[in-house]
Amino acid sequence: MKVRNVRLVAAAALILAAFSALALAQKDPGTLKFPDIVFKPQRPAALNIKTGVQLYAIENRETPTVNAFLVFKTGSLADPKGKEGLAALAMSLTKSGGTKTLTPEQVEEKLDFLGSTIAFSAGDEFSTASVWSLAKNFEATWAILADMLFNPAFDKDRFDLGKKREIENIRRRWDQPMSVGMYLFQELLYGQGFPDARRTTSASIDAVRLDDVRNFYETNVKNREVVLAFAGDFQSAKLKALLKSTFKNWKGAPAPKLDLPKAQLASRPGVYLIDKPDLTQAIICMGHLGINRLDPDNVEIAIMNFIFGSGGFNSRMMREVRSNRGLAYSTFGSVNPGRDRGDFFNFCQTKSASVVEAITIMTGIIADMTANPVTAQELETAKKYEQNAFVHRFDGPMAVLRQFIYQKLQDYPADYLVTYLARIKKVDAAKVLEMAKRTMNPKEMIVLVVGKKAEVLDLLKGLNMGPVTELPLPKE
Amino acid sequence: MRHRNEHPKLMAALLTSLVLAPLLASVLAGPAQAAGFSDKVKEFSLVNGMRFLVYERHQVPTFAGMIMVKVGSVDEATGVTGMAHFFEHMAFKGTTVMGTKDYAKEKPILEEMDKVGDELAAENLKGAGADPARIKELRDRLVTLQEQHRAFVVKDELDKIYSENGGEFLNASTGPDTTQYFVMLPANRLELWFLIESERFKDLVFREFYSERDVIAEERRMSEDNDPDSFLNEEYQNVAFVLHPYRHSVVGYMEDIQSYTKDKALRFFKSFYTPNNMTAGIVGDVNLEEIKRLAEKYFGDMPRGPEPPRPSFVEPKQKGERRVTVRFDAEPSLVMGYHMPAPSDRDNLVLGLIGSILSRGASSRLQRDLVTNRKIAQYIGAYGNSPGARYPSLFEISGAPRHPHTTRELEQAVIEHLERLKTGAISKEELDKAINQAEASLYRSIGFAENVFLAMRLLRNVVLFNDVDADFKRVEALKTITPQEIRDAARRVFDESNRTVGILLKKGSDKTGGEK
Repeated sequence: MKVRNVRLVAAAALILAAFSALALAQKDPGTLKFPDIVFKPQRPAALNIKTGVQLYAIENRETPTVNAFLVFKTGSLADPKGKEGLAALAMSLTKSGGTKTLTPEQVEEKLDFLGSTIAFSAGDEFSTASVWSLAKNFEATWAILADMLFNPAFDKDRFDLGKKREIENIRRRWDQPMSVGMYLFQELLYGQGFPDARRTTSASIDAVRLDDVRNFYETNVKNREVVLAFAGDFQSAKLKALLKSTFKNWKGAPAPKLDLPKAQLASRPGVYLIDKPDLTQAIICMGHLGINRLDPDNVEIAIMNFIFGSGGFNSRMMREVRSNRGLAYSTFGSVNPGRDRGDFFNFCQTKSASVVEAITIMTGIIADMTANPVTAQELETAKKYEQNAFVHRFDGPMAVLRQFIYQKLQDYPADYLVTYLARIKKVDAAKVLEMAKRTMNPKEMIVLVVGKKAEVLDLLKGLNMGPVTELPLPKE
Repeated sequence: MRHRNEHPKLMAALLTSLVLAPLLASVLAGPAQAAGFSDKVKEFSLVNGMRFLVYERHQVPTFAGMIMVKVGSVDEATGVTGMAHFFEHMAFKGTTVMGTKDYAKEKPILEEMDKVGDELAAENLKGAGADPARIKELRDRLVTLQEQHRAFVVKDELDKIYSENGGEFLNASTGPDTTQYFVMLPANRLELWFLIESERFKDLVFREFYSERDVIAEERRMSEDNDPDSFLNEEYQNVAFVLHPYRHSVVGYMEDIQSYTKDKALRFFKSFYTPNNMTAGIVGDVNLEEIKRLAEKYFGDMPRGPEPPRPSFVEPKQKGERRVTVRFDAEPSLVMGYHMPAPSDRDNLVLGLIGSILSRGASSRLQRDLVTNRKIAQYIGAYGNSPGARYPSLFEISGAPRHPHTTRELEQAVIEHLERLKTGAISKEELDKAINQAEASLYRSIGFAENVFLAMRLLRNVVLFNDVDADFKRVEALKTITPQEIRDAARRVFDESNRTVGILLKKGSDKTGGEK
């Protein structure tokens, strides 16, 4: 091509260059700047059905479905000694045991035909009944749930089935090596009889009678306070009317108070070993007691945890144990606020030969957290994460409801979420060090290793953490 | 899968191929009346063949971005099993800009490491004839180089940048059929997502290759060797397929993992990570026009590649029952599989319905009879397309006997039910129930990270079935199945000579498992 107008071509080239520079992809994320997101958390509407029956509802018509759960202030903490497993059996039998007018088979048939699900289950402190259905089937599904709640029949054969199922679960409990570590670490920490750390046994399940189940329901569920959470395709006013009618004769009385003991570290700090001769990896669970969930630092602790061991690849634990040394696929740690004391829990699963190296690195990280301030860079990453990821906590109506209701039930201050980010902003390195000193104590560490004794015992003896106590794997 | 601590169970479910299909069948879905997503999801493609699916949901100022690559363990050749998964880990290691303090200085060390790594892999491949002294020497040399290399690395910078910007649920998963990379971000970070996701594939540096191999070895020890279900499943799949690559596990054989070389990884990457083999799904508080602009800007310059090589094996017809028994320190369990046709075949659809009739809901045949009434099973499930849906796969029944019942009793009881399907009556009510359940499950929400699961569902529909409404249409098609078709499909598939049985028995128990 013959160039006729040099100036014009030059100008065009310039424009093109400018244009392509504009459209040219950046390679460095540092060149992109974003403001903090402006966002006001959604709060569910509170609708009082009657005293002791509180409804929180969020209408959402994206899909023609209704999703709900009911919370009762009872759970396995109420299990009598020697009858561990009662709450779980009682809650599930309220659903599976049929009603005064429907056999268990009929209930199952109806629900499956509607494509709806209902589940009753017990937690430690709180138990729930949950329901999911297409909006067009909601009233029919709700009627079944209400029937279960008001007129449970506690079918004898379903009761036996429930017990058999749990006894088989107990037989299978040690099949997963990780669950050996988790259960027995809790036991070392709190002691065998402590309500939060108890586990079911075949004897405790055997000891539960059908009358115990009925009593549990009569005492802890029927006519007790209940929180109702609804999200989905409904009209709040109509729903409220339906629920008023359902709970017309429900008393809504406060749940019985439990007298629970205070936690104390139940075992001598040191190294404990459980032999599982088949394993090619050692499962390491280590830590000590943690903090109460209403601890004054219950927000700030998130920053410490993120830097220490809960921040995935941004945490020291993952970086050192996995990323730098390739010693594990799974490793993490954190101080966890709990009902009474919570725990300080650290985990790693590594090949037998690396067991000491992994423990040494983990204890080293803990010691450093309690001795030296974290770096400015670590602090910045953790704070930015909390600030910018906060919005995800409100990602969908059920997430909003669950968070709001459980915080209320657990006595969190009403402004907990409102002040959350302001509290995060104030955390500095001195604060992190102060929290680490208060909540992590290298001298109190209980180190439980589940692994192949022939490969790990001698190695563990070389650890400078006191004698190695061998524990038998309990039968169940 | 890379690892994070939140929602470990669901993450595991998202990863695990076996659970993938049932999970996806139960994710949140779209519009109230319409059948499917097509009126809500917008689709466009770039010139280089990369496809984008956009679903605007303006509820919370967040979005999920996911890139699904049509590559899984099924695309791996013999000798490089686990490579798709290994590569997924590599894609978190950064670029020439992200993850490094000075790439020019880093590069020669990386090259030196590769030389040593190649020699080490070659030595490992000698198997029993390998020289332990030589292996130790090479390993030590590698460790020294790794320490030198660390001085130039900004550790896990990709993760750090995402986290600082409010990235949540950052992860990736590899299955037999696909690999997917995902994250949730605040809505105003859309461009950041485009930048990182394009650069991680356009300008990838295979960093920390050798230490990551050790991480994967640990992942394999944890998820395959020390887990009873996977322990059984790996052997069972090896027996059920003699030729087709669905026979090997996603994480791959330890022997292959130990002999990966950078060259093998690079060849794999170039074959499959082309824009014409990638689809992006973006769901949340986003805008289509903005996405079109950014897609062109960040992915538009990625060159189209040749069509990826695909497995060219047809699994030979099975001619007799196959069995495998493994011993593990765990209570007994059972898995049974029958070869079944791919989703393009009508029998595949019919077998999906059979799975529901057998085990979906407490009133289904196997739950009612084996778990509730006869109490011989602790749990049981029946489902098709395992381990994958891209090629003909297995219809599977897996469960565990309840003590003192044995795997043998459970197996017999399952076979009786399969036989019954061949000749027995199926009532209209039973069919309607299965269809109602399938229809309802299209709308089931998982209650958190909905954008991520929704993106996964859309992408799966498009990448595997080339139709954003594939799951809705499948449910519509279920309505046309007749009882006779069920009997015919059962007769074709549930034949003894087409069966593989895998049994896990407790170590030390006698031949029958000492189960009784």
